[in-house]
Amino acid sequence: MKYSICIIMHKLGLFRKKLNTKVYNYFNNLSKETLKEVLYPKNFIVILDEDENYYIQNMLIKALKRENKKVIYNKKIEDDLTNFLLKSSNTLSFIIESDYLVLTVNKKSLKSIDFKYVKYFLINDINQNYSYKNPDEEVVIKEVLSNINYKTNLILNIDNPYVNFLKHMHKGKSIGYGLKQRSVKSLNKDYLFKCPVCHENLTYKSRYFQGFGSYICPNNDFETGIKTFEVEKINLDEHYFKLDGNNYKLNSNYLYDIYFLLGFYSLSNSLNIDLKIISSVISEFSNFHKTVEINNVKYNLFEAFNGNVLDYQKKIDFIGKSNKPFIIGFSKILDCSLTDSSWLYKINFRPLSKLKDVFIFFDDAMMLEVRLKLDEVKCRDYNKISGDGEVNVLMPKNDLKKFVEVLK
Amino acid sequence: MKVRIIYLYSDLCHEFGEEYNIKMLVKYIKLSGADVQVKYHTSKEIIDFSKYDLFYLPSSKKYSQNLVLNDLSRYKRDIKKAINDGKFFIVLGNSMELFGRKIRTKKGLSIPCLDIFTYQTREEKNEIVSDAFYDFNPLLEHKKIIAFKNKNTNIVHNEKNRMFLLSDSYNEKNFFAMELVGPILVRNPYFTLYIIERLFNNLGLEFSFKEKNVVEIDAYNAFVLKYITNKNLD
Repeated sequence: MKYSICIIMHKLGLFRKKLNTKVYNYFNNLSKETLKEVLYPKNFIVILDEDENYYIQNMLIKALKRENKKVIYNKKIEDDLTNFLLKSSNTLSFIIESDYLVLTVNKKSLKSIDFKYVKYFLINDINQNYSYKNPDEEVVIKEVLSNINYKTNLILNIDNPYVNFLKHMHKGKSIGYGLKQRSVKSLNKDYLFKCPVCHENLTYKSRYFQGFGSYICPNNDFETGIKTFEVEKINLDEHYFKLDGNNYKLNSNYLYDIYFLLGFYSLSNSLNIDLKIISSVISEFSNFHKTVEINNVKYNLFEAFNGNVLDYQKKIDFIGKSNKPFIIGFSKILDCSLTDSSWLYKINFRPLSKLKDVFIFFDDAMMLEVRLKLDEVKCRDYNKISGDGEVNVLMPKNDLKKFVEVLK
Repeated sequence: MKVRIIYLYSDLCHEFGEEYNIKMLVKYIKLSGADVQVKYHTSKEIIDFSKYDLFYLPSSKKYSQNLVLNDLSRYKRDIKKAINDGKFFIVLGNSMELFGRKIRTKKGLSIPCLDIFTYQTREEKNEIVSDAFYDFNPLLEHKKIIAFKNKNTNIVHNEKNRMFLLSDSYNEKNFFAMELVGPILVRNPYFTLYIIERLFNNLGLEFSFKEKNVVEIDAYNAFVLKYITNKNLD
């Protein structure tokens, strides 16, 4: 009876209001007890996504709905999912009545999940951001390992050595995915990853993006290993990639986005979703920048996510390859901090050093100018660009809007 | 005469962008009128403390911190002598913990450290993550240190030799330590200049800093003007 009342209180949102501390603590403990009574659907999927992209979840939901499956999913990552799980449960039977339950989580919310009921747990990346989040990948690995169950099936991006480490440590089944080994130009050595087993530098046979690639440790048997799902060929210019003998559309300029599509593909295959549906969902994924023409100048607007090192890096790598003038800036370094600029120092800005015209916009971006100059990027304050041509612009969403208004 | 800097355990200690502090030091030493050489020490190399004027040790990951501590332990006497001789140490982030008496983990274990100074470190259950704006009196009118805290420890038994109001900093002779990150020297050019001027005096060098359109100083001043108000000071 008390568990049903607890669920009703969650459904009515009563825990959201301010409660007396003793009352709050009582219901908080009761909520944790009630959570143990909850019965989950057979298909309980969890996706680790510290960067809050939701790409993989959104694609999966789309695919499942096309198969006419009932899906319950969280739209927002919370540190504690107890409220969401209890709200989703039937008040009398405690069953989450759905064909599929899909949750996107961060390392904190792992504690609210009972992994013995999770069918698949997908990890595309372990957080490498440095803003208000622990920078130590090993901390995230420990959190994951301490929460998962040996029965949990892991689906892992094993091009990332830290994610691959979970495959080595997990006692249950794991499926790995990644890109086929290919020769690429060597990237900056500063961004190599270390072996998670012995902490020495890994030897890379090929590298795709920062520390992602095919690698082996010179001291022990830790290496990339065999991938169940492997992208065989990528053509960024013609926007396609090849996987399991089939070509798939890649509506993005960024190599890194293939990992999201591959993660979705691996998970969907494991769930036996129809291949035609998988293909259609992949073709609908789009991560192109917008373009706006003002006074005969085309502005390619790239949305920046401050604090997200990998997202910035993929855009910097792409923009650095063009010869176009480039405008970068932000009005706030982070939403949650005035001072944390450490994430800027995990991005390699050297690809921009080849560009002739790099402009800084917004006063607060002076610390960005400091950072760029440390990577020998010649930059200066924004000057109006006149004449015909094309310009790349990288700013957070709201700043892009302000910038466009200034241009008009 | 060259200023000789050693970046200790550069292969293990490079968190929070603190490896860029060395670039700042080099730039500002040159702008102040001297030559400089930097040794990027790695964990497998021996350290000759007599060869350097300034020792730089920034933050590391947890497992690297243990490796650094084990290696540094064999140099305890050399470190004490170097500090007493007035050599410069800039120690940042969690590396500050190594120079105290011990680290007490949240499980109650006691990890002996270098015991150069009497402060101790206590691991906390929760992470401590916040902006930090500290007064640093020797900087006079440019007093504020702009920094960031991202740690799960607290420094305790540190009453006398704090650089700032709170206990997460230590200064004795030319040993400067703070459990903060920034990158500190990049974000705080006046603090960097303060260290360099002291270093030059110590080495008998003439300090003359050519301050014209130095972007770090402009960025610092713009930030202080905009954001540092009474309500967000520690």
